[in-house]
Amino acid sequence: MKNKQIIKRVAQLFFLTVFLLTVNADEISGINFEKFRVILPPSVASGTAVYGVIKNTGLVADTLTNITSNAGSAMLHKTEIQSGIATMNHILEFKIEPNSQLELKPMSYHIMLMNINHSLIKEGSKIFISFEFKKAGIIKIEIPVLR
Amino acid sequence: MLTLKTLEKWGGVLYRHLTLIVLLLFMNTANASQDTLPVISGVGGNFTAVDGDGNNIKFSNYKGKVVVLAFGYTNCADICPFTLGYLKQLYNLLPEEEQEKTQVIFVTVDPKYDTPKHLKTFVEFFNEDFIGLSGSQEQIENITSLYQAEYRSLSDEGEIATKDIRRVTPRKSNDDNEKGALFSHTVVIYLIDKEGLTRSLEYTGTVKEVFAEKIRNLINEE
Repeated sequence: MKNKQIIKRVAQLFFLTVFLLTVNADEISGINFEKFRVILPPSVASGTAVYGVIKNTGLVADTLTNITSNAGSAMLHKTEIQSGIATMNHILEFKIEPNSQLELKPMSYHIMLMNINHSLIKEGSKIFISFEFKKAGIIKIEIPVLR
Repeated sequence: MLTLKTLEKWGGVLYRHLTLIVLLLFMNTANASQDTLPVISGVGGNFTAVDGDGNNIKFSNYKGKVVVLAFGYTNCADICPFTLGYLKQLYNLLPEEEQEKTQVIFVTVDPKYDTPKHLKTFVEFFNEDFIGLSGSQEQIENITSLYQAEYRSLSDEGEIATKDIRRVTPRKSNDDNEKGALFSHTVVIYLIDKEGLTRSLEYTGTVKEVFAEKIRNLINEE
């Protein structure tokens, strides 16, 4: 008898959880950051690149709308090479589908940090970058500076 | 019919002509680099520029060395540091005696911002042996024209007044109108022989060991 009650309670809890998840499914966005690093620039450079992977492990798409940093002004850029000529294009926003990712890497999408503060960007240091998403909101991460 | 006697006869012929055979093989090897890396006519030539010490130089000053030449600018955050990082790794594949016979040159497409001294500090971050070349706008346009390279200012993208920058180091100038520009530009890496002739067009996608071998062949070329 007691076991039946326990099973009943567990089942109620289970269905309640599923219900809540379902009701809010259109709001759930799971954003994760992997392998982020700032590339150490020459001391006279006014900018540098940031690379890494942004994964959306959630149930719905989410859109990256803004990037800020304590070490300089940040923008999402994409390098495109056509006929041996490289162009960098500013990307205003980027939609990451569920179970998908945005890979920031050389000669491709990357975060361009401009007018950098060299006292913050030096070998072995870490800086902060905040990523603003439509659903996930603002996520701030600490990123190492690597040579 | 193939008999032992026939084999002995041909073996003897081969032995007697061994010297000639070895000579022919040697000649083929010596000419291999010219066959595999033909001169790319119409790309390259002599030009004048300003090096990192402020000296007026001619490209012919580097005759006798194999030159690896690339274009870019110091405000470039992604491609140019990546290219120079690649060239640094490439250069490090060469033993010291080959490094002495090789010159990596980075020509700016933004001579307005990249003064010789500024450019020198930038390229030497990657390797102290690398040379940055700047100059007048006309000199840079001449160089890019000779190498059929292209560049253009992305004038409305990323130009920010440097007076608004939070800085620790002094600004390059006190000009309140100074801005940093972004450029699109050729990413080809030019491999130039000891006579100043362009022999190959490479990219950062070229396997470094293969690239190093090409440099080596040109160094050893008669």
